[in-house]
Amino acid sequence: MIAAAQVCRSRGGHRVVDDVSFSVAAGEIVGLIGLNGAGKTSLIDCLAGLAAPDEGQIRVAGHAPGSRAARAATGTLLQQPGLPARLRVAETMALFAGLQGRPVCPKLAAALGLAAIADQRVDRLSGGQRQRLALALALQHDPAVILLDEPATALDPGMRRDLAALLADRRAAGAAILMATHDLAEAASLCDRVLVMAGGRLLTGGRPADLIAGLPSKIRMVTAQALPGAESASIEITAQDVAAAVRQLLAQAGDVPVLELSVTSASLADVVLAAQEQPHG
Amino acid sequence: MADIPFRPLLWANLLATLRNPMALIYGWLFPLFFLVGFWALYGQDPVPLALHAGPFFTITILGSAAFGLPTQMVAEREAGLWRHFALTPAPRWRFVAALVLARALLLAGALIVQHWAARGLGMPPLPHPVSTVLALATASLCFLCIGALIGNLAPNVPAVQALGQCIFLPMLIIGGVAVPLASLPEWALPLSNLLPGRHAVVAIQTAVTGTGTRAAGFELAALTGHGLIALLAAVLLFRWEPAAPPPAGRRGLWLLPLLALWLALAAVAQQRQRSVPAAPDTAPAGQVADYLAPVTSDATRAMVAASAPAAPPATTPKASRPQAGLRPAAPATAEAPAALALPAEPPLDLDRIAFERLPADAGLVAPIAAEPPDEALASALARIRRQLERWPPATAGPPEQQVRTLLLIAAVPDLLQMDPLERHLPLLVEAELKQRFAADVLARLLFEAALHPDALSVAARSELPAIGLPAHAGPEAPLRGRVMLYAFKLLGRITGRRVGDPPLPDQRE
Repeated sequence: MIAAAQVCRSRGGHRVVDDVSFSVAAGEIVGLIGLNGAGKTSLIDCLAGLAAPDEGQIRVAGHAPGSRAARAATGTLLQQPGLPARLRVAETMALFAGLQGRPVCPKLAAALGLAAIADQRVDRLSGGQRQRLALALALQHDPAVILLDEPATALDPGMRRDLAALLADRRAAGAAILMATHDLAEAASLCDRVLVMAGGRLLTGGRPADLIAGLPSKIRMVTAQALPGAESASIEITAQDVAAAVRQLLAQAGDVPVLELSVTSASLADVVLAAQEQPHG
Repeated sequence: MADIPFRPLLWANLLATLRNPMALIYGWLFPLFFLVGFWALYGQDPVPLALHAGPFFTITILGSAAFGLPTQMVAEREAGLWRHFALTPAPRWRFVAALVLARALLLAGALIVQHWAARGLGMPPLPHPVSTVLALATASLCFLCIGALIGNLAPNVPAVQALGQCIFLPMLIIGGVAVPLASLPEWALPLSNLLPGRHAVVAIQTAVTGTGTRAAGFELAALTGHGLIALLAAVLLFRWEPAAPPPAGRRGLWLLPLLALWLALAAVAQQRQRSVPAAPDTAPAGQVADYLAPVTSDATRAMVAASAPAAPPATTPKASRPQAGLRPAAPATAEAPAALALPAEPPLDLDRIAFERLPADAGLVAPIAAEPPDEALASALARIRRQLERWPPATAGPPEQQVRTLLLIAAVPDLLQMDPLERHLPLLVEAELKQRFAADVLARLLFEAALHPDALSVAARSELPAIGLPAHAGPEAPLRGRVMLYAFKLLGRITGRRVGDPPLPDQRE
């Protein structure tokens, strides 16, 4: 549903998207993760048709991004969604539904908690309420392709949970979802795959569990006294093979009592940081 | 793909605008302040506000179109609303069209409110409603296009204010909008041709106190030209993003021919030398005694004694001093009775009338054309002549009343400075009078009208729109003064005593 091949985009003489290729299939949620300035938002702008790539090709639902067909098939949540300040929530939903040629979806409004604030003016909404409204505008026409830039921003934990459920439903319905996020826990739990960007380039990608599994875990052992050759009673190592490393540490401790032994698995944050530290160019 | 309706967008824009207090204050309330300001300045004109309809309507259009529209455009673009709209499958031009149309409707509402407020302050009804609507619509579209251009040039809202002022202030000061062109120095006149404000003022003014669309053909075309140039430039500079580089390459180069077209349009306007309209004509007509030679006989003494004052004696024309033996003129009241009895008929003594003291036919007060009308004017005159045949007031009352009523057809446009029509209408009235009355009867009737300007009714002044001329409202005295002048002048013409202006002193033997 989304296909990008060797996409490049420059802004102000600086390459913000550099030779990026990937695809997202129907019924798949792909996370786009990376540090600030990695190029995630610029890439989403290209996919949404708001910015034209300098090089490379993009197809969204089989259409060129920005074409009317692509816009009709796509639901996009921008990082800073512009909303008509002086309209009410219900009026805004009706307007955007009209612009999509669809009726308003009351079920979605209820799911996102908008029914209770339907008569409130947009310029009087809180940040979280604005974000919920923007999400509703992106999803209410039941798009085949969903592009989300920081969807969980300003949402409370309950609404984050509801959003995850909503996206899972859309995935089950066959939508292709690309989601740029800094919420790595959410990405790990929700995304089928993640793509890691840094410096405009796509550094790595895969299933979150696989990416995490590729990184060593942290093992920490605290003994009653410092072991021979050790500076303190606390030893911290990283190891790919956790079982072997633990066995080795216990053997090293011998008769010295072990007060604490903990293993911390790698996370997507470690994936991002590790990717960032890799030489690329 | 489902069809995307336009109406929701337009409705959303209207709602957003109507919920914006600043838009309402600037769009609707400020024009009323301007109107009251004009009324305070010109409310005592012979015809309240009508002579200034061009300027105050133009200022309203300028404010809403050159400030309101671009401010809204840039504010929405900065807030990211346009980017959001651009994500939907609706044709993108519809967003801009809905925005401009909503602004145009707001502007139309403001103009309607302002018109009725002006009527409430004494402005007479519009003689050419269709022409007025056409002139207002053309000026509005022109300035909306300029507003759209500003909206695409300005990177942020403060820049809109700066750019808007760069256009607004020159247009007010040297563009013929707030300061009349007649008051400008020579050097400013070519500059005024660069700005469409003067065309808007002339087009609207011609519709309100002139002959309507045909007479303002060039101004309407010039406004359309300015609007199209601004629209094309706005399209070339259009962007969805708050900050974007200026158009480069071929797209940017297109701006150069547009600039050349703009200068060419100004050059054509300058070439036509439709530069300086006449200064406001508020001069008093003088009094009957001012146009009578010194008394030499009992007959003329009786004639003068029977004459009545015509206008306030504030100032009198040059070489018109109180004459020995004449009855002192009593001050005229601001509101004369609608119909006064005719005094006893004095003997007709043409020698007693100082025709040479009448204002020059080529002057501002009571002018009469020496040249034939051009094609547009001839058409307007023919139309008035046709409508005159079916105009009930022209045949109502005794002959004395009919003559006065017909003289109104020359007098009201003179007060309203309906140049060039005002100079040709006296000839139309003369022809009409000659057709209706025998020469000797007509001379007697005009003589009587000249000597008794305050007698009988001028109520037909409010029915002039039926023949395509503006109505007259306000004090009767200035109008009766012009009736007197035209009665004297036409009397001179039909009796051969005064045909055209007398030779200047240095042309005399």
